[in-house]
Amino acid sequence: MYTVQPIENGLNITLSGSFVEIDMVCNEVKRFLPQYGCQSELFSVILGTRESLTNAVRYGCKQDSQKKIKYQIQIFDNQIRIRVTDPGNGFNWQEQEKKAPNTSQPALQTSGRGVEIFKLYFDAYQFNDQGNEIELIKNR
Amino acid sequence: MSEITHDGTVYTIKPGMDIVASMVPDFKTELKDTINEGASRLIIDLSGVEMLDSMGIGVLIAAHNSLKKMSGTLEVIQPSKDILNLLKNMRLDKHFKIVQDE
Repeated sequence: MYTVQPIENGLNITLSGSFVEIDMVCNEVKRFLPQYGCQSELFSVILGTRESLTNAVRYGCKQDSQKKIKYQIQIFDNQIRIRVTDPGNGFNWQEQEKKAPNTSQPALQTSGRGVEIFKLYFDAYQFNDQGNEIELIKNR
Repeated sequence: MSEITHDGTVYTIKPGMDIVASMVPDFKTELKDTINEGASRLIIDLSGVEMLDSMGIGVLIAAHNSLKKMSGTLEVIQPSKDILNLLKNMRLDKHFKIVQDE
Protein backbone atom coordinates (compact mmCIF):
# COMPACT_ATOMS: atom_id res chain seq x y z
CA MET A 1 0.00 0.00 0.00
CA TYR A 2 1.28 3.47 -0.95
CA THR A 3 1.48 5.81 2.02
CA VAL A 4 2.82 9.33 2.56
CA GLN A 5 3.65 10.60 6.01
CA PRO A 6 4.87 14.14 6.68
CA ILE A 7 7.90 14.31 8.99
CA GLU A 8 9.98 17.23 10.19
CA ASN A 9 11.31 19.03 7.08
CA GLY A 10 10.30 16.18 4.87
CA LEU A 11 8.27 13.19 3.83
CA ASN A 12 8.33 9.47 4.50
CA ILE A 13 6.79 7.48 1.68
CA THR A 14 6.21 3.74 1.50
CA LEU A 15 5.67 2.31 -1.95
CA SER A 16 5.48 -1.12 -3.49
CA GLY A 17 7.90 -2.58 -6.00
CA SER A 18 6.19 -1.12 -9.07
CA PHE A 19 7.39 1.50 -11.57
CA VAL A 20 4.03 3.28 -11.57
CA GLU A 21 4.41 4.09 -7.87
CA ILE A 22 7.75 5.80 -8.63
CA ASP A 23 5.75 8.30 -10.69
CA MET A 24 3.46 8.85 -7.68
CA VAL A 25 6.46 9.57 -5.42
CA CYS A 26 7.90 12.02 -7.96
CA ASN A 27 4.60 13.89 -8.22
CA GLU A 28 4.46 14.12 -4.43
CA VAL A 29 8.03 15.42 -4.24
CA LYS A 30 7.35 17.95 -7.04
CA ARG A 31 4.43 19.32 -5.02
CA PHE A 32 6.47 19.38 -1.83
CA LEU A 33 9.79 20.96 -2.91
CA PRO A 34 8.57 24.45 -3.92
CA GLN A 35 7.49 25.11 -0.30
CA TYR A 36 11.18 25.08 0.51
CA GLY A 37 12.25 27.17 -2.46
CA CYS A 38 14.17 24.29 -4.06
CA GLN A 39 13.30 25.15 -7.66
CA SER A 40 16.89 25.01 -8.89
CA GLU A 41 17.46 21.59 -7.32
CA LEU A 42 14.23 20.10 -8.64
CA PHE A 43 15.63 18.28 -11.69
CA SER A 44 18.50 16.69 -9.72
CA VAL A 45 16.22 15.67 -6.88
CA ILE A 46 13.63 14.08 -9.19
CA LEU A 47 16.34 12.37 -11.25
CA GLY A 48 18.05 11.00 -8.10
CA THR A 49 14.68 9.93 -6.71
CA ARG A 50 13.88 8.08 -9.92
CA GLU A 51 17.27 6.39 -10.23
CA SER A 52 17.39 5.18 -6.62
CA LEU A 53 13.78 3.98 -6.71
CA THR A 54 14.18 2.31 -10.11
CA ASN A 55 17.11 0.31 -8.71
CA ALA A 56 15.01 -0.57 -5.65
CA VAL A 57 12.11 -1.78 -7.82
CA ARG A 58 14.28 -3.67 -10.34
CA TYR A 59 16.89 -5.23 -8.13
CA GLY A 60 15.65 -4.86 -4.55
CA CYS A 61 12.08 -6.03 -5.25
CA LYS A 62 12.55 -7.81 -8.59
CA GLN A 63 9.41 -5.88 -9.63
CA ASP A 64 7.33 -7.75 -7.05
CA SER A 65 4.55 -5.33 -6.07
CA GLN A 66 4.01 -7.24 -2.80
CA LYS A 67 7.40 -5.91 -1.64
CA LYS A 68 7.83 -2.56 0.08
CA ILE A 69 10.33 0.26 -0.43
CA LYS A 70 10.91 3.12 1.98
CA TYR A 71 11.66 6.58 0.61
CA GLN A 72 12.55 9.56 2.72
CA ILE A 73 13.33 13.13 1.72
CA GLN A 74 14.40 15.84 4.14
CA ILE A 75 15.20 19.43 3.34
CA PHE A 76 17.50 21.40 5.58
CA ASP A 77 18.83 24.94 5.19
CA ASN A 78 21.98 23.80 3.45
CA GLN A 79 21.17 20.27 2.26
CA ILE A 80 18.62 17.97 0.71
CA ARG A 81 18.87 14.34 1.81
CA ILE A 82 17.15 11.39 0.15
CA ARG A 83 17.20 7.89 1.55
CA VAL A 84 15.88 4.75 -0.16
CA THR A 85 15.70 1.37 1.55
CA ASP A 86 14.59 -1.79 -0.25
CA PRO A 87 14.02 -5.35 0.99
CA GLY A 88 16.64 -6.90 -1.32
CA ASN A 89 19.96 -8.56 -0.59
CA GLY A 90 21.74 -5.39 -1.58
CA PHE A 91 23.79 -3.93 -4.40
CA ASN A 92 27.42 -5.01 -4.28
CA TRP A 93 28.81 -1.48 -4.47
CA GLN A 94 32.18 -2.51 -3.01
CA GLU A 95 32.73 -4.89 -5.94
CA GLN A 96 31.44 -2.29 -8.41
CA GLU A 97 33.91 0.33 -7.16
CA LYS A 98 36.80 -2.16 -7.26
CA LYS A 99 35.92 -3.11 -10.84
CA ALA A 100 35.68 0.40 -12.20
CA PRO A 101 37.57 2.89 -10.11
CA ASN A 102 36.75 6.37 -11.36
CA THR A 103 35.89 5.25 -14.83
CA SER A 104 32.63 6.14 -16.43
CA GLN A 105 30.36 3.81 -18.34
CA PRO A 106 30.97 3.52 -22.08
CA ALA A 107 28.51 5.85 -23.73
CA LEU A 108 26.67 3.21 -25.76
CA GLN A 109 25.91 0.72 -23.00
CA THR A 110 22.13 0.49 -22.51
CA SER A 111 22.28 0.21 -18.70
CA GLY A 112 24.47 0.90 -15.68
CA ARG A 113 24.20 4.68 -15.44
CA GLY A 114 22.68 5.00 -11.97
CA VAL A 115 25.90 5.50 -10.01
CA GLU A 116 27.28 7.88 -12.63
CA ILE A 117 24.13 9.98 -12.28
CA PHE A 118 24.49 10.05 -8.47
CA LYS A 119 28.08 11.24 -8.87
CA LEU A 120 27.16 13.96 -11.34
CA TYR A 121 23.98 15.29 -9.77
CA PHE A 122 24.69 14.96 -6.03
CA ASP A 123 27.43 16.17 -3.72
CA ALA A 124 27.64 12.82 -1.94
CA TYR A 125 26.07 9.36 -2.05
CA GLN A 126 26.58 6.39 0.19
CA PHE A 127 25.32 2.84 0.47
CA ASN A 128 24.95 0.96 3.74
CA ASP A 129 27.18 -2.11 4.17
CA GLN A 130 24.50 -4.47 2.94
CA GLY A 131 23.88 -2.32 -0.14
CA ASN A 132 20.08 -2.21 0.21
CA GLU A 133 19.99 1.40 1.36
CA ILE A 134 21.32 4.47 -0.39
CA GLU A 135 21.54 8.03 0.82
CA LEU A 136 21.93 10.94 -1.62
CA ILE A 137 23.02 14.35 -0.41
CA LYS A 138 22.68 17.56 -2.36
CA ASN A 139 24.04 20.83 -1.00
CA ARG A 140 21.98 23.97 -1.57
CA MET B 1 0.96 6.40 -26.84
CA SER B 2 3.38 8.45 -28.87
CA GLU B 3 2.46 10.53 -31.88
CA ILE B 4 4.20 8.97 -34.87
CA THR B 5 4.40 10.62 -38.29
CA HIS B 6 6.48 9.81 -41.33
CA ASP B 7 7.57 11.22 -44.62
CA GLY B 8 9.00 8.36 -46.65
CA THR B 9 11.51 6.67 -44.40
CA VAL B 10 11.96 9.69 -42.12
CA TYR B 11 9.94 9.01 -38.98
CA THR B 12 9.19 11.40 -36.14
CA ILE B 13 8.07 10.02 -32.82
CA LYS B 14 6.79 12.32 -30.10
CA PRO B 15 6.08 10.68 -26.75
CA GLY B 16 4.80 13.91 -25.15
CA MET B 17 5.39 12.49 -21.68
CA ASP B 18 8.35 11.79 -19.42
CA ILE B 19 10.55 8.94 -20.70
CA VAL B 20 10.88 6.97 -17.48
CA ALA B 21 10.70 3.40 -16.16
CA SER B 22 6.89 3.16 -16.10
CA MET B 23 6.47 3.96 -19.81
CA VAL B 24 9.74 2.59 -21.19
CA PRO B 25 8.38 -0.89 -22.13
CA ASP B 26 5.64 0.64 -24.35
CA PHE B 27 7.98 3.25 -25.81
CA LYS B 28 10.54 0.59 -26.58
CA THR B 29 7.93 -1.37 -28.55
CA GLU B 30 6.94 1.76 -30.48
CA LEU B 31 10.57 2.47 -31.38
CA LYS B 32 11.17 -1.11 -32.41
CA ASP B 33 8.06 -1.16 -34.61
CA THR B 34 9.05 2.12 -36.24
CA ILE B 35 12.54 0.80 -37.00
CA ASN B 36 11.09 -2.46 -38.32
CA GLU B 37 8.77 -0.50 -40.61
CA GLY B 38 11.93 0.76 -42.30
CA ALA B 39 12.78 4.10 -40.73
CA SER B 40 16.13 5.26 -42.08
CA ARG B 41 16.10 8.43 -40.04
CA LEU B 42 14.29 8.43 -36.73
CA ILE B 43 13.63 11.74 -35.02
CA ILE B 44 12.57 11.68 -31.38
CA ASP B 45 10.79 14.90 -30.48
CA LEU B 46 11.18 15.61 -26.76
CA SER B 47 8.73 18.54 -26.64
CA GLY B 48 6.83 18.32 -23.38
CA VAL B 49 9.25 15.80 -21.88
CA GLU B 50 10.47 17.03 -18.48
CA MET B 51 12.35 13.96 -17.32
CA LEU B 52 14.46 11.24 -18.87
CA ASP B 53 15.78 8.56 -16.51
CA SER B 54 18.49 5.96 -17.06
CA MET B 55 16.00 3.42 -18.43
CA GLY B 56 14.82 6.08 -20.89
CA ILE B 57 18.42 6.77 -21.87
CA GLY B 58 18.87 3.02 -22.34
CA VAL B 59 15.99 2.86 -24.79
CA LEU B 60 17.33 5.81 -26.84
CA ILE B 61 20.70 4.07 -27.05
CA ALA B 62 19.10 0.76 -28.03
CA ALA B 63 17.27 2.59 -30.86
CA HIS B 64 20.51 4.28 -31.95
CA ASN B 65 22.35 0.93 -31.93
CA SER B 66 19.63 -0.83 -33.98
CA LEU B 67 19.45 1.98 -36.52
CA LYS B 68 23.21 2.13 -36.87
CA LYS B 69 23.34 -1.55 -37.79
CA MET B 70 21.05 -0.76 -40.72
CA SER B 71 22.92 2.44 -41.62
CA GLY B 72 20.09 4.54 -40.23
CA THR B 73 20.36 7.53 -37.91
CA LEU B 74 18.76 8.70 -34.72
CA GLU B 75 18.15 12.34 -33.97
CA VAL B 76 16.82 13.90 -30.79
CA ILE B 77 15.09 17.26 -31.06
CA GLN B 78 13.64 19.84 -28.66
CA PRO B 79 15.15 18.60 -25.39
CA SER B 80 14.63 20.84 -22.35
CA LYS B 81 17.76 22.53 -21.01
CA ASP B 82 18.06 19.98 -18.18
CA ILE B 83 17.62 17.00 -20.50
CA LEU B 84 20.13 18.44 -23.00
CA ASN B 85 22.65 18.71 -20.15
CA LEU B 86 21.91 15.16 -19.04
CA LEU B 87 22.44 13.80 -22.58
CA LYS B 88 25.72 15.72 -22.81
CA ASN B 89 26.79 14.53 -19.35
CA MET B 90 26.23 10.98 -20.56
CA ARG B 91 28.29 11.83 -23.68
CA LEU B 92 25.46 10.88 -26.01
CA ASP B 93 25.89 14.04 -28.08
CA LYS B 94 29.02 12.33 -29.43
CA HIS B 95 26.92 9.52 -30.89
CA PHE B 96 23.73 11.03 -32.25
CA LYS B 97 22.55 14.44 -33.31
CA ILE B 98 20.77 16.54 -30.70
CA VAL B 99 19.00 19.67 -31.94
CA GLN B 100 17.63 22.34 -29.66
CA ASP B 101 15.68 25.23 -31.15
CA GLU B 102 15.97 28.47 -29.32
